[in-house]
Amino acid sequence: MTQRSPCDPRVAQLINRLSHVLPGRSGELGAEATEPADLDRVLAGVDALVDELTALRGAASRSEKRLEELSGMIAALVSFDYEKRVAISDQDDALDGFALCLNMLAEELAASTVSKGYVNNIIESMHDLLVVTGADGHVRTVNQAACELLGFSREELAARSFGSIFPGLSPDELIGRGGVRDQESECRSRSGATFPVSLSASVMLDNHGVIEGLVCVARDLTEGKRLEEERWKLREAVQRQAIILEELSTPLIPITDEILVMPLVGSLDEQRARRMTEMLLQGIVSRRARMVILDITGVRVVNTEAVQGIIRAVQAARLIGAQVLLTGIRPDVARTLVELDVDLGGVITFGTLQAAIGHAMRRTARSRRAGPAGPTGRAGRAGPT
Amino acid sequence: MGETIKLRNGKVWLDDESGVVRVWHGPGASVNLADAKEQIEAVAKVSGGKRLPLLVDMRNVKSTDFSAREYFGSPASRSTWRATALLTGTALSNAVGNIWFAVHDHRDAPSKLFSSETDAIQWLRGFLG
Repeated sequence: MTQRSPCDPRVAQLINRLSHVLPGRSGELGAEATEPADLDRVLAGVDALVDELTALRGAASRSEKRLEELSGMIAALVSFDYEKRVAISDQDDALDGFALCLNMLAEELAASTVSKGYVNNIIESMHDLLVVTGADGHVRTVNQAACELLGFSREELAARSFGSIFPGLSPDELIGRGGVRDQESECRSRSGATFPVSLSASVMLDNHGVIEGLVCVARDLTEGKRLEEERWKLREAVQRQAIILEELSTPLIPITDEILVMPLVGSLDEQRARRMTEMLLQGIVSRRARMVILDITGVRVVNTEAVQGIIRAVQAARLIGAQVLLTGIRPDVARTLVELDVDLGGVITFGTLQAAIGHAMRRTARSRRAGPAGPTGRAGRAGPT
Repeated sequence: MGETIKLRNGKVWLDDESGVVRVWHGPGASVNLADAKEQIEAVAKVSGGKRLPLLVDMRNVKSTDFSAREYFGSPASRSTWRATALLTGTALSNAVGNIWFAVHDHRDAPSKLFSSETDAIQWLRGFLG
Protein backbone atom coordinates (compact mmCIF):
# COMPACT_ATOMS: atom_id res chain seq x y z
CA MET A 1 0.00 0.00 0.00
CA THR A 2 1.38 3.34 -0.97
CA GLN A 3 1.97 5.62 1.90
CA ARG A 4 0.72 9.04 1.19
CA SER A 5 2.71 11.86 2.65
CA PRO A 6 0.86 14.44 4.66
CA CYS A 7 -0.74 17.14 2.48
CA ASP A 8 1.33 20.28 2.00
CA PRO A 9 -0.96 23.27 2.21
CA ARG A 10 0.82 24.69 -0.84
CA VAL A 11 -0.63 21.85 -2.90
CA ALA A 12 -4.09 23.24 -2.35
CA GLN A 13 -2.84 26.61 -3.51
CA LEU A 14 -1.42 25.04 -6.67
CA ILE A 15 -4.75 23.32 -7.32
CA ASN A 16 -6.52 26.60 -6.85
CA ARG A 17 -4.24 28.41 -9.28
CA LEU A 18 -4.53 25.65 -11.85
CA SER A 19 -8.32 25.83 -11.62
CA HIS A 20 -8.17 29.50 -12.53
CA VAL A 21 -6.22 28.91 -15.73
CA LEU A 22 -8.08 25.69 -16.54
CA PRO A 23 -11.67 26.59 -15.65
CA GLY A 24 -13.01 23.65 -17.60
CA ARG A 25 -11.05 21.27 -15.46
CA SER A 26 -12.08 22.57 -12.03
CA GLY A 27 -14.12 19.50 -11.24
CA GLU A 28 -11.35 17.21 -12.34
CA LEU A 29 -8.84 19.00 -10.23
CA GLY A 30 -11.16 18.76 -7.26
CA ALA A 31 -10.76 22.41 -6.50
CA GLU A 32 -13.98 22.40 -4.55
CA ALA A 33 -13.45 19.08 -2.90
CA THR A 34 -13.27 19.00 0.79
CA GLU A 35 -10.72 16.21 0.92
CA PRO A 36 -7.14 17.13 1.17
CA ALA A 37 -5.50 17.71 -2.24
CA ASP A 38 -2.74 15.46 -3.31
CA LEU A 39 0.15 15.66 -5.71
CA ASP A 40 -1.53 13.40 -8.30
CA ARG A 41 -4.21 15.91 -8.92
CA VAL A 42 -1.66 18.68 -9.14
CA LEU A 43 0.27 16.67 -11.68
CA ALA A 44 -2.88 16.06 -13.73
CA GLY A 45 -3.57 19.75 -13.68
CA VAL A 46 -0.06 20.60 -14.77
CA ASP A 47 -0.32 18.08 -17.63
CA ALA A 48 -3.56 19.66 -18.74
CA LEU A 49 -1.91 23.04 -18.64
CA VAL A 50 1.01 21.84 -20.66
CA ASP A 51 -1.34 20.36 -23.27
CA GLU A 52 -3.23 23.57 -23.52
CA LEU A 53 -0.10 25.67 -23.83
CA THR A 54 1.27 23.35 -26.49
CA ALA A 55 -1.97 23.60 -28.44
CA LEU A 56 -1.93 27.37 -28.08
CA ARG A 57 1.61 27.63 -29.28
CA GLY A 58 0.77 25.47 -32.28
CA ALA A 59 -2.23 27.63 -33.06
CA ALA A 60 -0.11 30.76 -32.70
CA SER A 61 2.44 29.37 -35.12
CA ARG A 62 -0.24 28.44 -37.61
CA SER A 63 -1.89 31.85 -37.21
CA GLU A 64 1.43 33.55 -37.86
CA LYS A 65 1.82 31.57 -41.05
CA ARG A 66 -1.68 32.44 -42.11
CA LEU A 67 -1.14 36.10 -41.35
CA GLU A 68 1.94 36.00 -43.60
CA GLU A 69 -0.19 34.58 -46.38
CA LEU A 70 -2.77 37.29 -45.86
CA SER A 71 -0.05 39.96 -45.96
CA GLY A 72 1.13 38.47 -49.22
CA MET A 73 -2.37 38.70 -50.59
CA ILE A 74 -2.64 42.37 -49.61
CA ALA A 75 0.71 43.04 -51.28
CA ALA A 76 -0.58 41.38 -54.44
CA LEU A 77 -3.69 43.57 -54.44
CA VAL A 78 -1.57 46.68 -53.97
CA SER A 79 0.52 45.68 -56.99
CA PHE A 80 -2.61 45.12 -59.07
CA ASP A 81 -2.25 41.35 -59.10
CA TYR A 82 -5.86 40.28 -58.94
CA GLU A 83 -5.22 36.66 -59.79
CA LYS A 84 -3.77 35.62 -56.44
CA ARG A 85 -5.96 33.90 -53.83
CA VAL A 86 -5.37 32.72 -50.27
CA ALA A 87 -6.47 29.37 -48.94
CA ILE A 88 -9.39 29.17 -46.55
CA SER A 89 -9.35 26.47 -43.87
CA ASP A 90 -12.22 24.56 -42.34
CA GLN A 91 -11.89 26.36 -39.05
CA ASP A 92 -14.15 29.22 -40.14
CA ASP A 93 -12.34 31.53 -37.77
CA ALA A 94 -11.60 35.26 -38.03
CA LEU A 95 -8.56 34.66 -40.23
CA ASP A 96 -10.64 32.59 -42.62
CA GLY A 97 -13.18 35.38 -42.75
CA PHE A 98 -10.44 37.86 -43.52
CA ALA A 99 -8.98 35.59 -46.19
CA LEU A 100 -12.36 35.21 -47.85
CA CYS A 101 -12.83 38.98 -47.79
CA LEU A 102 -9.50 39.48 -49.54
CA ASN A 103 -10.33 36.87 -52.17
CA MET A 104 -13.65 38.50 -52.88
CA LEU A 105 -12.02 41.92 -52.95
CA ALA A 106 -9.62 40.65 -55.62
CA GLU A 107 -12.57 39.44 -57.68
CA GLU A 108 -14.37 42.77 -57.39
CA LEU A 109 -11.25 44.75 -58.26
CA ALA A 110 -10.48 42.53 -61.22
CA ALA A 111 -13.97 43.11 -62.53
CA SER A 112 -14.05 46.84 -62.01
CA THR A 113 -10.46 48.01 -62.40
CA VAL A 114 -8.20 48.21 -65.39
CA SER A 115 -4.97 46.71 -64.20
CA LYS A 116 -1.72 48.60 -64.33
CA GLY A 117 -0.20 45.82 -66.38
CA TYR A 118 -2.93 46.17 -68.95
CA VAL A 119 -2.43 49.93 -69.20
CA ASN A 120 1.32 49.49 -69.48
CA ASN A 121 0.80 47.00 -72.24
CA ILE A 122 -1.27 49.49 -74.18
CA ILE A 123 1.37 52.20 -73.84
CA GLU A 124 4.24 49.92 -74.80
CA SER A 125 2.36 48.57 -77.81
CA MET A 126 1.92 52.01 -79.36
CA HIS A 127 3.81 52.69 -82.56
CA ASP A 128 3.74 56.40 -81.86
CA LEU A 129 6.12 58.13 -79.50
CA LEU A 130 4.73 58.94 -76.05
CA VAL A 131 6.35 61.46 -73.74
CA VAL A 132 4.69 62.56 -70.51
CA THR A 133 6.12 65.53 -68.66
CA GLY A 134 5.39 66.82 -65.21
CA ALA A 135 4.09 70.28 -64.53
CA ASP A 136 7.73 71.35 -64.24
CA GLY A 137 8.43 70.31 -67.82
CA HIS A 138 10.69 67.40 -66.92
CA VAL A 139 10.15 64.10 -68.67
CA ARG A 140 8.43 61.58 -66.41
CA THR A 141 7.26 58.77 -68.64
CA VAL A 142 8.20 57.55 -72.09
CA ASN A 143 7.24 54.47 -74.02
CA GLN A 144 9.30 51.96 -75.97
CA ALA A 145 8.52 53.66 -79.28
CA ALA A 146 10.02 56.89 -77.93
CA CYS A 147 13.20 55.08 -76.95
CA GLU A 148 13.50 53.44 -80.36
CA LEU A 149 12.72 56.54 -82.42
CA LEU A 150 14.97 58.82 -80.42
CA GLY A 151 17.75 56.33 -79.78
CA PHE A 152 17.85 56.77 -75.99
CA SER A 153 17.20 54.47 -73.07
CA ARG A 154 14.35 55.27 -70.71
CA GLU A 155 16.74 56.49 -68.05
CA GLU A 156 18.50 58.76 -70.52
CA LEU A 157 15.23 60.21 -71.74
CA ALA A 158 14.05 60.83 -68.17
CA ALA A 159 17.10 63.01 -67.65
CA ARG A 160 16.46 65.09 -70.77
CA SER A 161 14.46 68.27 -71.07
CA PHE A 162 11.35 68.61 -73.17
CA GLY A 163 13.04 71.12 -75.45
CA SER A 164 15.87 68.75 -76.25
CA ILE A 165 13.35 66.21 -77.55
CA PHE A 166 11.02 68.71 -79.25
CA PRO A 167 13.28 71.58 -80.31
CA GLY A 168 11.57 74.93 -80.49
CA LEU A 169 8.70 73.89 -78.25
CA SER A 170 8.11 74.64 -74.60
CA PRO A 171 5.79 72.68 -72.31
CA ASP A 172 4.61 75.92 -70.67
CA GLU A 173 3.56 77.29 -74.00
CA LEU A 174 1.75 74.10 -74.95
CA ILE A 175 -0.01 74.02 -71.59
CA GLY A 176 -0.91 77.67 -72.00
CA ARG A 177 -2.53 76.86 -75.33
CA GLY A 178 -4.48 74.04 -73.76
CA GLY A 179 -2.59 71.51 -75.82
CA VAL A 180 -2.33 71.05 -79.57
CA ARG A 181 -3.59 68.56 -82.10
CA ASP A 182 -1.74 67.26 -85.18
CA GLN A 183 0.78 70.05 -85.19
CA GLU A 184 3.72 69.52 -87.54
CA SER A 185 6.82 69.66 -85.40
CA GLU A 186 10.24 68.11 -85.12
CA CYS A 187 11.93 65.61 -82.84
CA ARG A 188 15.65 65.46 -82.21
CA SER A 189 17.24 62.05 -81.91
CA ARG A 190 20.39 60.99 -80.16
CA SER A 191 22.49 61.68 -83.26
CA GLY A 192 21.31 65.28 -83.24
CA ALA A 193 19.35 64.82 -86.45
CA THR A 194 15.77 65.98 -86.49
CA PHE A 195 12.83 64.28 -88.10
CA PRO A 196 9.31 65.55 -88.80
CA VAL A 197 6.45 64.49 -86.53
CA SER A 198 2.77 65.18 -86.13
CA LEU A 199 2.42 66.20 -82.50
CA SER A 200 -0.66 66.05 -80.32
CA ALA A 201 -0.28 67.27 -76.75
CA SER A 202 -2.93 67.18 -74.04
CA VAL A 203 -2.88 68.87 -70.67
CA MET A 204 -3.14 66.35 -67.83
CA LEU A 205 -5.15 67.36 -64.75
CA ASP A 206 -5.41 65.58 -61.43
CA ASN A 207 -8.65 64.86 -59.56
CA HIS A 208 -8.69 68.40 -58.20
CA GLY A 209 -8.26 70.01 -61.60
CA VAL A 210 -4.65 70.97 -60.94
CA ILE A 211 -2.27 70.74 -63.90
CA GLU A 212 -0.23 67.62 -63.52
CA GLY A 213 1.68 67.71 -66.77
CA LEU A 214 1.55 67.23 -70.50
CA VAL A 215 0.87 64.06 -72.47
CA CYS A 216 2.55 64.21 -75.88
CA VAL A 217 2.00 61.73 -78.66
CA ALA A 218 4.08 62.19 -81.80
CA ARG A 219 3.80 60.30 -85.07
CA ASP A 220 6.92 60.02 -87.20
CA LEU A 221 6.18 61.66 -90.54
CA THR A 222 9.48 60.73 -92.22
CA GLU A 223 8.05 57.95 -94.28
CA GLY A 224 4.88 59.91 -94.95
CA LYS A 225 6.87 62.89 -96.18
CA ARG A 226 8.99 60.70 -98.39
CA LEU A 227 5.90 59.13 -99.92
CA GLU A 228 4.32 62.53 -100.37
CA GLU A 229 7.42 63.76 -102.20
CA GLU A 230 7.40 60.72 -104.42
CA ARG A 231 3.72 61.23 -105.15
CA TRP A 232 4.44 64.86 -106.00
CA LYS A 233 7.22 63.86 -108.37
CA LEU A 234 4.96 61.31 -109.94
CA ARG A 235 2.20 63.88 -110.37
CA GLU A 236 4.65 66.25 -112.00
CA ALA A 237 5.87 63.53 -114.31
CA VAL A 238 2.32 62.61 -115.21
CA GLN A 239 1.52 66.26 -115.89
CA ARG A 240 4.58 66.62 -118.05
CA GLN A 241 3.65 63.52 -119.92
CA ALA A 242 0.10 64.78 -120.30
CA ILE A 243 1.43 67.96 -121.84
CA ILE A 244 3.68 66.00 -124.16
CA LEU A 245 0.81 63.74 -125.03
CA GLU A 246 -1.36 66.71 -125.69
CA GLU A 247 1.25 68.21 -127.91
CA LEU A 248 1.69 64.94 -129.73
CA SER A 249 -2.04 64.57 -130.10
CA THR A 250 -2.25 67.87 -131.94
CA PRO A 251 0.72 67.76 -134.27
CA LEU A 252 1.17 70.39 -136.90
CA ILE A 253 2.93 69.04 -139.96
CA PRO A 254 4.31 71.50 -142.52
CA ILE A 255 3.82 70.26 -146.08
CA THR A 256 5.29 73.36 -147.68
CA ASP A 257 6.24 76.79 -146.39
CA GLU A 258 2.66 77.83 -146.74
CA ILE A 259 0.70 74.68 -146.11
CA LEU A 260 0.23 72.99 -142.75
CA VAL A 261 -1.60 69.77 -141.97
CA MET A 262 -3.09 69.03 -138.55
CA PRO A 263 -4.31 65.44 -138.28
CA LEU A 264 -6.66 65.03 -135.36
CA VAL A 265 -6.89 61.67 -133.58
CA GLY A 266 -9.15 60.63 -130.75
CA SER A 267 -11.91 62.53 -129.05
CA LEU A 268 -12.20 66.27 -129.30
CA ASP A 269 -13.43 67.77 -126.06
CA GLU A 270 -13.45 71.43 -125.11
CA GLN A 271 -9.96 71.38 -123.60
CA ARG A 272 -8.44 69.59 -126.54
CA ALA A 273 -10.23 71.84 -129.02
CA ARG A 274 -8.78 74.85 -127.24
CA ARG A 275 -5.36 73.33 -127.36
CA MET A 276 -5.81 72.50 -131.04
CA THR A 277 -6.82 76.08 -131.86
CA GLU A 278 -3.85 77.42 -129.93
CA MET A 279 -1.40 75.13 -131.73
CA LEU A 280 -2.99 75.96 -135.06
CA LEU A 281 -2.75 79.70 -134.60
CA GLN A 282 0.80 79.53 -133.28
CA GLY A 283 1.78 77.39 -136.23
CA ILE A 284 0.14 79.68 -138.78
CA VAL A 285 1.82 82.75 -137.37
CA SER A 286 5.24 81.22 -136.85
CA ARG A 287 5.36 79.61 -140.29
CA ARG A 288 3.35 82.29 -142.05
CA ALA A 289 1.15 79.59 -143.45
CA ARG A 290 -1.60 80.48 -145.88
CA MET A 291 -3.46 77.18 -145.82
CA VAL A 292 -4.20 74.70 -143.10
CA ILE A 293 -5.64 71.29 -143.68
CA LEU A 294 -7.59 69.89 -140.74
CA ASP A 295 -7.88 66.13 -141.09
CA ILE A 296 -10.56 64.66 -138.86
CA THR A 297 -10.29 61.09 -140.09
CA GLY A 298 -9.10 59.98 -136.66
CA VAL A 299 -11.73 61.82 -134.61
CA ARG A 300 -13.78 59.02 -133.05
CA VAL A 301 -16.85 60.90 -132.02
CA VAL A 302 -18.05 63.94 -133.93
CA ASN A 303 -20.58 65.50 -131.64
CA THR A 304 -21.71 69.05 -131.04
CA GLU A 305 -18.72 69.77 -128.85
CA ALA A 306 -16.25 68.51 -131.47
CA VAL A 307 -17.95 70.39 -134.28
CA GLN A 308 -17.99 73.62 -132.32
CA GLY A 309 -14.31 73.15 -131.59
CA ILE A 310 -13.54 72.73 -135.26
CA ILE A 311 -15.63 75.73 -136.28
CA ARG A 312 -13.91 77.92 -133.69
CA ALA A 313 -10.51 76.80 -134.95
CA VAL A 314 -11.52 77.56 -138.52
CA GLN A 315 -12.85 81.00 -137.61
CA ALA A 316 -9.73 81.82 -135.62
CA ALA A 317 -7.45 80.75 -138.45
CA ARG A 318 -9.37 82.86 -140.93
CA LEU A 319 -9.06 85.89 -138.70
CA ILE A 320 -5.29 85.72 -138.99
CA GLY A 321 -5.39 85.26 -142.69
CA ALA A 322 -5.19 81.53 -143.28
CA GLN A 323 -7.62 79.36 -145.16
CA VAL A 324 -8.77 76.11 -143.61
CA LEU A 325 -9.56 72.97 -145.55
CA LEU A 326 -11.36 70.11 -143.88
CA THR A 327 -10.71 66.49 -144.78
CA GLY A 328 -11.50 63.04 -143.47
CA ILE A 329 -15.24 63.47 -143.15
CA ARG A 330 -16.49 59.93 -142.92
CA PRO A 331 -20.05 59.02 -143.98
CA ASP A 332 -21.19 58.76 -140.38
CA VAL A 333 -19.59 62.11 -139.67
CA ALA A 334 -21.36 63.63 -142.64
CA ARG A 335 -24.67 62.24 -141.31
CA THR A 336 -23.98 63.71 -137.92
CA LEU A 337 -23.14 67.09 -139.35
CA VAL A 338 -26.39 67.12 -141.29
CA GLU A 339 -28.37 66.03 -138.23
CA LEU A 340 -26.78 68.74 -136.18
CA ASP A 341 -27.59 71.17 -138.96
CA VAL A 342 -24.07 72.45 -138.87
CA ASP A 343 -23.07 75.34 -141.07
CA LEU A 344 -19.38 74.94 -141.75
CA GLY A 345 -19.33 78.54 -142.94
CA GLY A 346 -17.99 77.95 -146.38
CA VAL A 347 -15.15 75.71 -145.30
CA ILE A 348 -13.99 73.64 -148.26
CA THR A 349 -14.16 69.96 -147.53
CA PHE A 350 -12.40 67.08 -149.19
CA GLY A 351 -12.88 63.38 -148.99
CA THR A 352 -9.21 62.59 -148.59
CA LEU A 353 -6.11 64.28 -147.30
CA GLN A 354 -4.45 63.73 -150.64
CA ALA A 355 -7.09 65.70 -152.44
CA ALA A 356 -6.90 68.49 -149.92
CA ILE A 357 -3.11 68.72 -150.20
CA GLY A 358 -3.35 68.78 -153.97
CA HIS A 359 -5.89 71.59 -153.87
CA ALA A 360 -3.86 73.53 -151.37
CA MET A 361 -0.73 73.29 -153.43
CA ARG A 362 -2.48 74.43 -156.60
CA ARG A 363 -4.02 77.38 -154.84
CA THR A 364 -0.80 78.52 -153.27
CA ALA A 365 1.03 78.17 -156.58
CA ARG A 366 -1.67 80.22 -158.32
CA SER A 367 -1.37 82.86 -155.67
CA ARG A 368 2.34 83.11 -156.14
CA ARG A 369 1.91 83.57 -159.85
CA ALA A 370 -0.91 86.09 -159.35
CA GLY A 371 1.02 88.95 -157.98
CA PRO A 372 1.52 91.36 -155.10
CA ALA A 373 1.85 90.43 -151.43
CA GLY A 374 -1.31 89.65 -149.57
CA PRO A 375 -1.87 90.15 -145.92
CA THR A 376 0.97 87.79 -145.10
CA GLY A 377 3.40 90.11 -146.75
CA ARG A 378 4.71 87.57 -149.21
CA ALA A 379 5.15 88.58 -152.77
CA GLY A 380 2.83 87.12 -155.38
CA ARG A 381 0.16 85.93 -153.06
CA ALA A 382 -3.47 86.76 -152.92
CA GLY A 383 -5.36 87.23 -149.69
CA PRO A 384 -7.42 84.42 -148.14
CA THR A 385 -10.25 83.02 -150.25
CA MET B 1 -45.61 27.26 -43.77
CA GLY B 2 -46.19 27.72 -47.46
CA GLU B 3 -44.63 25.77 -50.27
CA THR B 4 -41.02 24.77 -49.65
CA ILE B 5 -38.75 24.48 -52.61
CA LYS B 6 -35.64 22.36 -52.16
CA LEU B 7 -32.46 23.65 -53.72
CA ARG B 8 -29.18 21.97 -54.48
CA ASN B 9 -27.70 23.30 -51.25
CA GLY B 10 -30.66 24.63 -49.26
CA LYS B 11 -34.32 25.50 -49.40
CA VAL B 12 -36.70 28.41 -49.92
CA TRP B 13 -40.14 28.92 -48.41
CA LEU B 14 -42.65 31.60 -47.52
CA ASP B 15 -42.95 31.99 -43.76
CA ASP B 16 -46.70 32.47 -43.23
CA GLU B 17 -46.22 33.81 -39.71
CA SER B 18 -43.86 36.64 -40.61
CA GLY B 19 -44.91 37.08 -44.25
CA VAL B 20 -41.27 36.92 -45.18
CA VAL B 21 -39.63 34.68 -47.79
CA ARG B 22 -36.83 32.64 -46.27
CA VAL B 23 -33.72 31.10 -47.75
CA TRP B 24 -31.72 28.58 -45.81
CA HIS B 25 -28.36 27.08 -46.80
CA GLY B 26 -27.12 23.69 -45.76
CA PRO B 27 -23.81 23.20 -43.89
CA GLY B 28 -20.71 24.09 -45.87
CA ALA B 29 -22.72 25.55 -48.73
CA SER B 30 -20.72 27.04 -51.62
CA VAL B 31 -22.98 29.08 -53.84
CA ASN B 32 -22.27 29.36 -57.56
CA LEU B 33 -24.14 31.08 -60.39
CA ALA B 34 -26.39 28.12 -61.06
CA ASP B 35 -27.29 28.02 -57.36
CA ALA B 36 -27.99 31.74 -57.40
CA LYS B 37 -30.35 31.43 -60.34
CA GLU B 38 -32.08 28.46 -58.79
CA GLN B 39 -32.51 30.38 -55.56
CA ILE B 40 -33.97 33.50 -57.15
CA GLU B 41 -36.29 31.45 -59.30
CA ALA B 42 -37.54 29.73 -56.15
CA VAL B 43 -37.96 33.07 -54.37
CA ALA B 44 -40.07 34.37 -57.24
CA LYS B 45 -42.19 31.23 -57.19
CA VAL B 46 -42.96 31.18 -53.46
CA SER B 47 -43.62 34.94 -53.53
CA GLY B 48 -46.41 34.34 -56.00
CA GLY B 49 -45.33 37.21 -58.23
CA LYS B 50 -45.12 39.74 -55.38
CA ARG B 51 -41.97 41.50 -54.17
CA LEU B 52 -41.74 40.37 -50.58
CA PRO B 53 -39.06 40.89 -47.95
CA LEU B 54 -36.40 38.18 -47.98
CA LEU B 55 -34.42 36.65 -45.12
CA VAL B 56 -31.31 34.80 -46.26
CA ASP B 57 -29.73 32.61 -43.61
CA MET B 58 -26.07 32.55 -44.56
CA ARG B 59 -24.70 31.08 -41.36
CA ASN B 60 -23.80 27.83 -43.12
CA VAL B 61 -22.38 29.48 -46.24
CA LYS B 62 -18.72 28.86 -46.82
CA SER B 63 -18.36 30.87 -50.04
CA THR B 64 -20.33 32.62 -52.78
CA ASP B 65 -18.51 33.02 -56.07
CA PHE B 66 -18.22 36.27 -57.99
CA SER B 67 -20.78 35.52 -60.67
CA ALA B 68 -23.30 34.41 -58.04
CA ARG B 69 -22.81 37.65 -56.08
CA GLU B 70 -23.21 39.63 -59.30
CA TYR B 71 -26.40 37.78 -60.09
CA PHE B 72 -27.86 38.34 -56.62
CA GLY B 73 -27.19 42.06 -57.09
CA SER B 74 -28.60 42.21 -60.62
CA PRO B 75 -31.90 43.88 -61.58
CA ALA B 76 -33.32 40.45 -62.42
CA SER B 77 -32.72 39.32 -58.86
CA ARG B 78 -33.77 42.57 -57.20
CA SER B 79 -37.08 42.43 -59.02
CA THR B 80 -38.04 39.38 -56.96
CA TRP B 81 -37.56 40.81 -53.46
CA ARG B 82 -38.39 44.05 -51.70
CA ALA B 83 -35.57 44.08 -49.15
CA THR B 84 -33.17 41.44 -47.92
CA ALA B 85 -31.78 40.67 -44.48
CA LEU B 86 -28.59 38.62 -44.51
CA LEU B 87 -28.29 36.50 -41.38
CA THR B 88 -24.65 35.84 -40.64
CA GLY B 89 -22.78 34.65 -37.62
CA THR B 90 -19.63 32.93 -38.73
CA ALA B 91 -16.43 34.50 -39.97
CA LEU B 92 -17.00 33.27 -43.50
CA SER B 93 -20.66 34.22 -43.73
CA ASN B 94 -19.82 37.63 -42.28
CA ALA B 95 -17.18 38.09 -44.97
CA VAL B 96 -19.54 37.16 -47.79
CA GLY B 97 -22.34 39.28 -46.39
CA ASN B 98 -20.17 42.33 -45.91
CA ILE B 99 -18.63 42.23 -49.34
CA TRP B 100 -21.95 41.67 -51.03
CA PHE B 101 -23.52 44.51 -49.06
CA ALA B 102 -20.65 46.87 -49.88
CA VAL B 103 -20.91 46.23 -53.60
CA HIS B 104 -24.57 45.58 -54.22
CA ASP B 105 -26.70 47.41 -51.66
CA HIS B 106 -29.28 49.29 -53.69
CA ARG B 107 -31.74 52.02 -52.86
CA ASP B 108 -34.73 50.30 -54.42
CA ALA B 109 -33.88 46.96 -52.82
CA PRO B 110 -32.13 47.65 -49.52
CA SER B 111 -30.16 45.02 -47.65
CA LYS B 112 -28.79 44.73 -44.14
CA LEU B 113 -26.67 42.31 -42.14
CA PHE B 114 -27.93 40.73 -38.91
CA SER B 115 -26.61 38.29 -36.41
CA SER B 116 -30.04 37.90 -34.77
CA GLU B 117 -32.92 36.26 -36.59
CA THR B 118 -35.45 38.12 -34.46
CA ASP B 119 -33.94 41.49 -35.29
CA ALA B 120 -33.77 40.56 -38.97
CA ILE B 121 -37.45 39.66 -39.16
CA GLN B 122 -38.44 42.77 -37.26
CA TRP B 123 -36.57 44.92 -39.78
CA LEU B 124 -38.08 43.07 -42.72
CA ARG B 125 -41.64 43.48 -41.41
CA GLY B 126 -41.19 47.17 -42.12
CA PHE B 127 -41.23 46.35 -45.81
CA LEU B 128 -44.48 44.42 -45.79
CA GLY B 129 -47.59 45.93 -47.25
